[in-house]
Amino acid sequence: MLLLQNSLMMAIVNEGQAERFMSIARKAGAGGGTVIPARGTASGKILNFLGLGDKSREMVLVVTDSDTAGKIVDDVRSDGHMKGVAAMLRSDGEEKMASKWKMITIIVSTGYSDDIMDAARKAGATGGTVTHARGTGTEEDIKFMGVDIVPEKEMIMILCESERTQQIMDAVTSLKCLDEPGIGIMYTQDVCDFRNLDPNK
Amino acid sequence: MDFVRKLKETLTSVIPIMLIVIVLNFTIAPIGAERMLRFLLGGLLLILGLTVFLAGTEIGMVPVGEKLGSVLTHKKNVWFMLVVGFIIGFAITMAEPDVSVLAAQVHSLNPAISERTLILMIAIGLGVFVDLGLLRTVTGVPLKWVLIGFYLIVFVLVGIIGQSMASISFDASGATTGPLAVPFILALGLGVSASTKRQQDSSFGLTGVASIGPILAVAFMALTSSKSAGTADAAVAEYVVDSFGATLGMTLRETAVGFAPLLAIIVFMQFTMLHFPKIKFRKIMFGIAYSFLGIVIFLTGVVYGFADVGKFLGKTIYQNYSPVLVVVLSLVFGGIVVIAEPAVWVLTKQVEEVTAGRIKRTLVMIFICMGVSVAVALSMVRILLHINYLWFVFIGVGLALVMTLVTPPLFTGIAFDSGGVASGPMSTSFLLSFALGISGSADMGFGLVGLIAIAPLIAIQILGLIFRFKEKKGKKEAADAVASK
Repeated sequence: MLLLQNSLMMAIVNEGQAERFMSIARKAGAGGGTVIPARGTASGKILNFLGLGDKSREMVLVVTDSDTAGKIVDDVRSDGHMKGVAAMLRSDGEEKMASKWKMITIIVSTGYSDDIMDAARKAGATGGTVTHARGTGTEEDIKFMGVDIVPEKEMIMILCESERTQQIMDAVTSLKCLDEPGIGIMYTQDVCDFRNLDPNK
Repeated sequence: MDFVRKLKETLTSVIPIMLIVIVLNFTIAPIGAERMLRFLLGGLLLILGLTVFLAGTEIGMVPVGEKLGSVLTHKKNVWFMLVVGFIIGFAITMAEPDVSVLAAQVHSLNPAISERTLILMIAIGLGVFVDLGLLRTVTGVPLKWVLIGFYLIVFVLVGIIGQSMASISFDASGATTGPLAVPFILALGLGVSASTKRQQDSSFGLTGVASIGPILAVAFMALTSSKSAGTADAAVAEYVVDSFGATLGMTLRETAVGFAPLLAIIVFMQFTMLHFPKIKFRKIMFGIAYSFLGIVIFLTGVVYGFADVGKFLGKTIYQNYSPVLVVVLSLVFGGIVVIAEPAVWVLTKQVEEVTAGRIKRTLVMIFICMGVSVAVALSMVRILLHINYLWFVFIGVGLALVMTLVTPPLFTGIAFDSGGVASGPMSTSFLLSFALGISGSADMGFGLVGLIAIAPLIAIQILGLIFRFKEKKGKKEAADAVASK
């Protein structure tokens, strides 16, 4: 196990671009990365209503120091092929200062992400990224025919401006369908840097 | 929005077959201007239909199937799971238009078997085997033992009933699972396996187990009813050239009939057990509507523009050129036609998702293509040389079963699922018509669909063996590297 005193860079790129991102990142000095298939939900109103707003994306996690992270983003931008965003999540020990951006993470039972994103968008979120996950549960093991049953989860990550955070979180918690106990959790993290990978934006 | 991206993907899957027909048209087999026009229009409809279908399936059928699988396991009630599984399997078969066509063929071959009873038996067969597949997925009994066990029974039965009924029973498994039902069953299996910790290894295989049901049902019927000599009615397998409006009307009606019970079940389940939240359910309904629309457009294109061309090409080339050319062309056709099968796209996408990109979709597709390519070529050899169908079944499926002993379980699942997936509307129309054009009678055309369904069993397992070999090598290299330090 490798222990790193660094921060986490999270990049969200189009499907099939993670490899290219990583090869640029490695040249810029990153050790390695983790790729997670994800679904992006940033689209216009009409497409979302018609159910066609989803985009296949890839989430890349790279643990690195902030200088290298800056270089990676610069290199990716000058490469010019990538569509997506990158965020640096604040790590332990870094000095606290008010950050302009925050990341809201919501982990809920599978099937609720669309309703959550709908509420979040109405409260000012521009989009979110959804990945599949599996809960381990605090309750005792549930067995069916001798097999452990695990709850499937969706993890929704929303990057937003700090001042909108509370508004979005309120909108999500007031959703009726989330009233059941134990349906999910939500937390926020400071984002110390947030940049677009597309040089034209 | 992924629509443009999807359009590009489907474009690359339909363009090759169109190019070849156009090349043939200007070289050895001119198909005539009117036919060409219909073919081009058909191709356009194929591309459009496939795109809309795939976009819809992803947000409609797939989430419903997965959620249902999850609900079935979380209820922790075996009987509940079995009853729901059976009803779904039963309902989608009863409504599948291809099954009625097949039943009519069987009836003409053996009048002692009534069409109604046969459809009922196939539906029960699929229902029972969906249940068996669900049980297997939950309990994690290795897929290979289930497959080997039931296929041995199949071997004994088809050995007794003889080749013409045997070929029909294998065709039956391809006919039962239409392009709307397959994604649903695939997703159901994924949903069940996602609720257990085993995950990847048991994700696939439900469709594979389910498709044994119809084979056994037909074989069982043939066995129990008195034998009588009859000849297959060629008319049922032939596509009558119709106007565009009539074709559209026919596919619309047939698809709607096949689709209605499934939709009714989904809506009923939403209010009793699925309970999707509001926005999600709206999205799912849109998705299902897109799949329906897409498949109607797709089938219209296939029936209107492709089936007739397939038959014409088969006939012209067989009459004017050497049989070797026929076999070579079949090799090419088989490989490129299967890329345009809607369900192949759904399966390969899910493979990529379940393995988080470790197994790339194009790789799976290439192997399915190679398998089907060989299968179609062999079918032509069989038609030309009048080889007994049973040889292909015994050797082909036998080899696939032996391979399950050494193939990684994940690949065995994908392989047997691909079987039902590869034999979709493109093979039953274009390729079957091509074969009919060559053989001139429907009798020999039977079994083509069945052989297409057998091919991926072997091809995908070969891919699995390659993966296994590579991973072993990778591990060994890593171990060596550590040791040398």
